[in-house]
Formats: sequence, C-alpha cells, structure tokens
Amino acid sequence: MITIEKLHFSYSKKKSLFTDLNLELQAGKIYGLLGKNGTGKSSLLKLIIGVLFPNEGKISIEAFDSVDRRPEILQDIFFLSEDYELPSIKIKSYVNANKALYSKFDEAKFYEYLQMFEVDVDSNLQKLSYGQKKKVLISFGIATNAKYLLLDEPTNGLDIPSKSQFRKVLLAGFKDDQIMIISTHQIRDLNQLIESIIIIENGKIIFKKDVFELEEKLRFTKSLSEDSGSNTVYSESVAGGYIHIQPNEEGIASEVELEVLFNAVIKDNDVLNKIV
Amino acid sequence: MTFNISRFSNLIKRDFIIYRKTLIYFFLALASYFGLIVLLGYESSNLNDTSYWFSWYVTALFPIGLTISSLVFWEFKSSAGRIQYLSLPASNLEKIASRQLYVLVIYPILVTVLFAIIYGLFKSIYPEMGIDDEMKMILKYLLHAFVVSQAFVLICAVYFNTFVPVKTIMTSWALFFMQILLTVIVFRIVFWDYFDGLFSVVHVESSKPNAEFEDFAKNKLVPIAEFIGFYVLPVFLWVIAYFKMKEKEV
Repeated sequence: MITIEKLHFSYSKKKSLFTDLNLELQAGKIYGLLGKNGTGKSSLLKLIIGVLFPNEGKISIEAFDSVDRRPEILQDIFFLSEDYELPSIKIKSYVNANKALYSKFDEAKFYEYLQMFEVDVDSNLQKLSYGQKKKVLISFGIATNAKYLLLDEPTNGLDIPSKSQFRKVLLAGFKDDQIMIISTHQIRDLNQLIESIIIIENGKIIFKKDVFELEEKLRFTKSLSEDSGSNTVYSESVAGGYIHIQPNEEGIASEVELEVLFNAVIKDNDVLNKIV
Repeated sequence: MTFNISRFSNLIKRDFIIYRKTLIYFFLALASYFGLIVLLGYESSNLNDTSYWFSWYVTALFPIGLTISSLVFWEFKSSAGRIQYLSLPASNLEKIASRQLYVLVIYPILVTVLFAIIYGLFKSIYPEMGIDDEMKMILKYLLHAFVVSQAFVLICAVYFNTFVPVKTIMTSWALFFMQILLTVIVFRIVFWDYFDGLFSVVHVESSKPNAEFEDFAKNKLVPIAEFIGFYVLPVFLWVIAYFKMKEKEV
C-alpha cells in the first residue's frame, strides 16, 4: 500500500506544487493519474519513489518512508520515467546487468513481452527508436514483478499498434498484489485499462474514483444536439455530435469516457463529486 | 545504513557490463599514456632517471585519477540518469562503495602495478636506478594525500551534476583560499604579540620555539596531525559523501 499524508512540495519558495495532499493507493488496482500540464503528475511519481523529497508530510510504502530509498522497497518498485537513458549495449547484456538487482525478475517473461512488442532481442539499445526503447523498459519493468509499477507517460512515442500491444502486455503481467500508477495525457490510449482515476489540480487531489463506481453512477450518452435534458451535468462536442454526462438514474451501464470525464472534473469537480 | 554483499557485487557486475566498452577504451588510453612516457623519456634521455618515472606516476595518480573520480557518477549529468541510478534497488552506501571500488582501489592499484612493471623493466636495463628513502617517504605521503583528495572529490562527484571536474577544481581553490585566510587569522590571533599591523612582523628573532616545544611538536603534534590527516579526515569526508548521496534528489 502507498500512503501519502499531508504532502507539501515545491520546487521554489514562491509557488507550491502540492499543498496538504493526501492519498491512499491499494493493491490490485491500475490507477490513472491525470492532470493538466505542470500540475505535478511526474513530480508525484518521483516523490513516491523517493528521488524527490517532500517539504512536509510523509509518503509511506509498506510503512517505510520513501525518502529512505530502502533497497528492499526499491526492488519492488519499477519507475518508467518519460525521459530515460539507456547504455550502448545489447538488450541481453542490459538484462544480465540489471536482473540480479530485482529478486523476482522473470527472464522468460521479459523475452515473451519483447516478442509481444515485436522487438528484436539481439538489438543494441542505442540503435533502437524512442518507442522501441520504451518497449524494452516496459517489458523489463513488468518482468521485474515489482509490486509497484509507476509509469510516466508510457504511451508517448508508441505507434498505434504498439499502444494496443502495450495494453496487452500490461494486462498479461499485472497481478492482484500489484499497484500500477499510470500518469498520462493520452487518456484514450488507456481507457479500457485504468480501474481508478486520480485527478490532480492546484496541488490537490480533486477527484479519486473507481471506474466501476463511475459506471454505476454516471451515464455517458452521445447525441447530435447539445441539448440533452435538464439532468445533464456536462456536455462536450466531439466529432459527429456531443457527449453528455448525466446521473445514471436508470441504472444503464455505459462506458466511461475518461477524456470527457477529465474535462468535466476540471471544469467543475464539485458537481461530479456530489453525484458519485 | 545497510550493506549487503550480494547487492554490492551485483552493482559492480552491473557497472562492469554497462561500462565494459568505456573500461576497455580507458585501459587503451592508459596503455597509450605509458607508451608516451617511454617515448618522451627516450627522446629526453630520461629513461634511467627514477624521478622522471616518479613524476609521471604522480601525474597518473593525481590529475588523471582525480578527474576520473569526479566523473564516477556519470549518470548524474541528466535528470533521467539520476532517476535511474537513485532508484536502483541498492542502498546509498552500496552505490557509493561500488563506484569507489573502481576509482579508489582498482585504479590506483592498476597504475601502481603498471608503473612497478615498467620501473622493474628499466631497472634491469639501467641498474643505477633506485628509489631512495626520501622518495619512499614522499610516496607514502602522496598515497595518503590521494586518499584524502579522492574523498573530497567524491563529495563533489555526488553533489554536482554537470561539469563536475571544473566545479570540483573551483571548489577546491575556494576552500584552499578560505583555509589560508582562516589559518592566517588564527595565527595572528594566537601570536598577537609578534605582529604589528597587517603585514609587518616584529620580534622575529624571539619567536623561535624552545627545545621542549620542538620535541613536543615532533613527538606528539606531528603524529596526531598525521593520524587526523591520513585516517580521520578521509573517513569524515566519506561520511559527508554518504550523507550527500542520501540527500541526493533529481
């Protein structure tokens, strides 16, 4: 479990990034960490893994303070940052160099995931494209069987077929005792993957709900006109019409449109929080 | 502070696999350096001069060795590199120790062994070559000075992210001048009576220490100063470097 209590963090004295942020993340869920640019999604992930330190407050991973960077905790964490550096060695050498540091690393699974991503195992890491390098790191991360998988913009740089492969690999490797946090701008890529949504705005968590809860309580409908009834809490124009969010009074399940939901929350989170 | 020998050896293995090519290039550069010394010695007819070899040994140990030490956390030059290295599943102590093994242990031993081989080779050609007691004593002090300097450079290597050798040199100079200034101030306060104004010195003839003090300095002060300088200071600097690593953020 990851617990964040009364987190205060800022890069400069003038402006705080997080003020009194509280969050609890449970095992067995894939969390989508959403927010506008500069709201601190990447910084929050860095704070969780202990490479940034809070100004105040505490981040605990299994009761251990993240700032301690304890090796037994770090071997259960895999963080895929948006930018990364890979050495000029072959993939096999990279695995040989790093696998011993992760006690639960499954080498066979790693090569299986690479195959799913269609990456040549004999390639030199430096000669791979940005997207291919990312595939190697994602495969490595999932093969570590780390309890905590933190992925920062994982679909950036992936082409359309790779995004689908990415979802498959993630679902194939995800286990009930794991916590996965995916920070992303590209919500559509992960629409069917995310189980719980966390939205950060103005240094606070303004929305945190499970997708099944949203499916139960909200209804996403499409129509050609903007007007869809008095109970509509949010409408947004999309290609070919409008998407509306309404309270699910009839109990009809509809797929949660994460992008529309995000925009609705950013516009007025109080209304949605009251409904859900 | 945890230290696990298995994780430590895994880190060394990791570094070796990742930087294998760099190490090979470095070894070739070192071999070229020795070749250059032989060539320069041949040109200047210095091959039978022990002090000639000694000066090159010192060059290999200090400017080259300390520059390598300052670059030992090469990953820190970028934010991505810092994230990747700091989040590796090993303790801060294991991370520092694994890199120190290369620059504080392996490199000096490698340089010393190579020089010993070359020295032995040329001594067999020029039997008049030899290391006298004074040179042995200088060598002992130099090795201690290397350990202390290296410990200081380690702090800079952990603390700074970019242009580490340049920043290390600038910091060293700043500290050196501050230390000189501090020493002068303390000296002037302690020996207040011997000075008149800022620069003029009076009563110099009476400032010679007596025999008892000379004896005390030789038998007590110097060994204590040596112990502090040779053993306490490097350990103190290593502890600072460890805490700097512990506090290191991206």
